[in-house]
Amino acid sequence: MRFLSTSPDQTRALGRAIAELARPGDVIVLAGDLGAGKTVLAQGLVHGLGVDEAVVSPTFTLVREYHGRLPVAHVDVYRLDHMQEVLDLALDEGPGAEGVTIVEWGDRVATALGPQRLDVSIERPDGVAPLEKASDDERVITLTPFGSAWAARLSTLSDLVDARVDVVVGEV
Amino acid sequence: MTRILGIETSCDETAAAVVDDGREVLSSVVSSQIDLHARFGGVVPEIASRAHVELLNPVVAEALVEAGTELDGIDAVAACHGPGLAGALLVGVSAAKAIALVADVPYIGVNHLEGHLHAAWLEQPDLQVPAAVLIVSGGHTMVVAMDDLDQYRVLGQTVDDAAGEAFDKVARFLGLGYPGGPAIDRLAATGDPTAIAFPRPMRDEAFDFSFSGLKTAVVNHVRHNPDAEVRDVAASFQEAVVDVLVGKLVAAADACHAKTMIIGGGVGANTRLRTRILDAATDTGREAMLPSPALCTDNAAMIAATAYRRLLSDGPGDLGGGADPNLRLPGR
Repeated sequence: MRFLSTSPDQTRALGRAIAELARPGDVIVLAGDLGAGKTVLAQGLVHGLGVDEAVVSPTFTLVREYHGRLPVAHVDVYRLDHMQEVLDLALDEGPGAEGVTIVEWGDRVATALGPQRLDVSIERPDGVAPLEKASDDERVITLTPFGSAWAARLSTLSDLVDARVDVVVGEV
Repeated sequence: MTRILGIETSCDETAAAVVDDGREVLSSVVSSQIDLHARFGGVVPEIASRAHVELLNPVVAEALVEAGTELDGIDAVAACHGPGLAGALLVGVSAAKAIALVADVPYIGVNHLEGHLHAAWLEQPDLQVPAAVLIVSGGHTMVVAMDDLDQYRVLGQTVDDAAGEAFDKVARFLGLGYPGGPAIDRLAATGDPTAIAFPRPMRDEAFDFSFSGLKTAVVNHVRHNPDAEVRDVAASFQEAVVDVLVGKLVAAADACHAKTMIIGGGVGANTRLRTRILDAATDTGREAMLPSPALCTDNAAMIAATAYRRLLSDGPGDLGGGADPNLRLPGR
């Protein structure tokens, strides 16, 4: 499932919509280059899970934990160079077990994150429009479910996005 | 005389120090200062808690030897108990408690950020308050008003990325390597800081910071201008960060009627930032205190110094106390 977002606010709104579908034990993997908007989408996810505080980058501390409708572990493996270091984080033992684990740069370590997960990739629409025509703020956001848990829920996401007046994310 | 052994393991650095009466640093050992890689026969994964477990005993032993003291000469043991990485913090806290139990002396848990606030006093004990402090590193960016040594409030902090993180990520994007702060610092010295008008995020909004969008602005600029001189991009980016940092520090100093402006944290080693703070201090008739880079970056001397103040004000800490990855400074 692909969406075109034309602004950080829309990306944030898509994050909020995904958060409404989240259940305990979910793993959401964010992929995208530097400046793609992973932090922005994560802000939408965390705030959409009912957390009412600033979503500060987890790059330095590797993990930041929040408590909203569900416990949230916001993880960033940008600095990790070895798979063993990801395993050392023991993500399956933290709040993620009963809550939602959001992993930035997680595409590099996806195999350590289990078979049930939602991969979210954020890209600049280079293939869609020439550089001079594409806005700096436009992003193509692709959602790929792994395992049965997410596949069923994603079918309702379009309705959820369309039904909300403040979300103008269109499907590509 | 009170001799305190301090331990710091909140993030990458494993550090131990011995400090007398919160002022006299007898030793301050940081893991990167001694040849531990060679000692352990290979590259140590710096950020795993396991590395702290392996490094801590030799680092503590080194700190005691350098201080010329034995364990029975120590009057209290302190550890940083937050904020930081949970597993990493627990290593230092557990070790400090175990040493305190064995030596039968008090244990004191210290807030890492409070340690940064007190680091400047180790080099210059007669600093005047009120003081405005900018703590800026890879993990933190905040301005703090210190009305007195033990009375402070956070005026504002980053709502997304820390400034040091922006330096690292922009440096990696520009292909300048790691660590990014020193790399950009060096290259920027040869570039034109006015070449590109990058945004000054949240400059006019009270005391909070935001650097995530600035990083994206650099990426956008380079995409549209692939031939841009990297040194000009580095200099212009650095100038944007420094403008915001210095602007907020001066605003904080105005707000708390500070006589002194202080910097702490790893980005405090940035030469442009240091120059601009000195200039701002001259312009506004204040004193600037820029601790040496060794005291700006993570170290255990600041933990031991802060522990001394906590011991005086609160007495011994609780051996049942744990670590808090999200520990905050009071205020806001």
